Amino acid sequence: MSSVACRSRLAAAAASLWLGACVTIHEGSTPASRSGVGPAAVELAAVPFFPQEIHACGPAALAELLVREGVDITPEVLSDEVYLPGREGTLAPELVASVRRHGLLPELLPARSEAVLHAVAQGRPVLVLQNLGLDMLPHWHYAVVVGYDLGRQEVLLRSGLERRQRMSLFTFEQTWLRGGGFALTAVRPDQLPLYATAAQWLQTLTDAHAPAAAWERAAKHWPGSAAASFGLANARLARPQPDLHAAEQALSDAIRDDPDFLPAYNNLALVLARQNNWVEARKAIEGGIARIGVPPASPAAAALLPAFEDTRRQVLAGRLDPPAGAR
Amino acid sequence: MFLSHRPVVFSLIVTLFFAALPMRVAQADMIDTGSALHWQSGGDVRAQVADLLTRDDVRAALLQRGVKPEVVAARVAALSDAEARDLAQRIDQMPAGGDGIIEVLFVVFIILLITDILGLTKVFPFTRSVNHR
Repeated sequence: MSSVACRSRLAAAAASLWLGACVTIHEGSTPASRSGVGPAAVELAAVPFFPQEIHACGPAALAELLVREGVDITPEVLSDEVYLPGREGTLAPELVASVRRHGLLPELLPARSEAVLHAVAQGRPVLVLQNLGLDMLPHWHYAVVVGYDLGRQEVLLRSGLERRQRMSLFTFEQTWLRGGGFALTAVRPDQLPLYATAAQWLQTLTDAHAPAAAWERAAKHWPGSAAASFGLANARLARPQPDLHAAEQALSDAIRDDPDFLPAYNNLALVLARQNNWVEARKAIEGGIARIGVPPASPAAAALLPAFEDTRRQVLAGRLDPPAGAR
Repeated sequence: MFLSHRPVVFSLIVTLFFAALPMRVAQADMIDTGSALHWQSGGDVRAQVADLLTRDDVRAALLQRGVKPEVVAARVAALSDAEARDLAQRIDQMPAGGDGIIEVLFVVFIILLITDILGLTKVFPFTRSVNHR
């Protein structure tokens, strides 16, 4: 082997090492893993486009997501909710919070491109955070995935000043996974999430103060979840016209499905008391106190005891204290 | 941490610890769903007290970074407990999507040009990656 060839080979190796130090190449999805996402090509043409002002890709991308679901909003208004001047950009948790502020439910998708494509196939545009630069030289950018074409191996983005940015699936995966794989969809209260577990979704509904309809959907989707029934009961009570009977039913379901979901006893007793059913109310709260046990079965159970004893006091007195705010 | 907060916060802790308020209550001592989920996942009361302090920190951090005073309360209130904790801990470290302008030296320009062409990055609008048919 000539020394020239050897040297050039060395140079190539050095160059690839040096490039390797600058950029991590992420392992993307495979054609096989993408085969089940949905139709071969999808474009959600109805997703609006807001060409972004400088630094304002966050508010612009968020507006595209929200307006698509019928929220009447502009990127300018959203800037006050999500833009952080000191960082010249937008932080992901504030985008998630803003989705809730507008009556929608945020679902974070798993960091796999199949999940993003599947969401798009289901009619849900996906807000993604990309690092368009390098790990050591990041260039952070929010865009919205609105389509894909498996044949051409590309995704379609609302991005920056481009209404239809076509990007190869490879480049999309590299820039998106380098950015941490953040993918956000805005779910309407009458819809279910695509990937969230019961625990994740119930927390989302709680954080969003979701309407009873959303809880009803969740309770039906995860039958046997005491937490879902419990949340449903509270949502029914939070209505302008509280439905006491339906709330009582949901709390009974919670106890039936999981007798150790202790908070349900307390609320069931109070809902019965509000219907003047003092006999059943007493049974409920005493059943709960018996479950806590003497001494309490666990520190968690013990933490509930003061609240339960206070409820029993009110039930035995045959009169409920006025709401905390009115005391 | 305590040194940076005013005595009012301190008295808040004391109140919350000793006023026999183990659960956040909504109305007539109903247990709210957030508290029930927190209870179910084995969380204790002190975490909820800490969350109040966290929100105080986040509010100050947002103001310091230029958020208008008239909108800061709504922004803090919109955060879930987990999001507030995340922001309080990493507000300057987490990525801020905003297309900051990269200060490009010539060498860096060449690297990014190469990585753009390889389809690993997408910094320049005029590049088209080799793997893009």
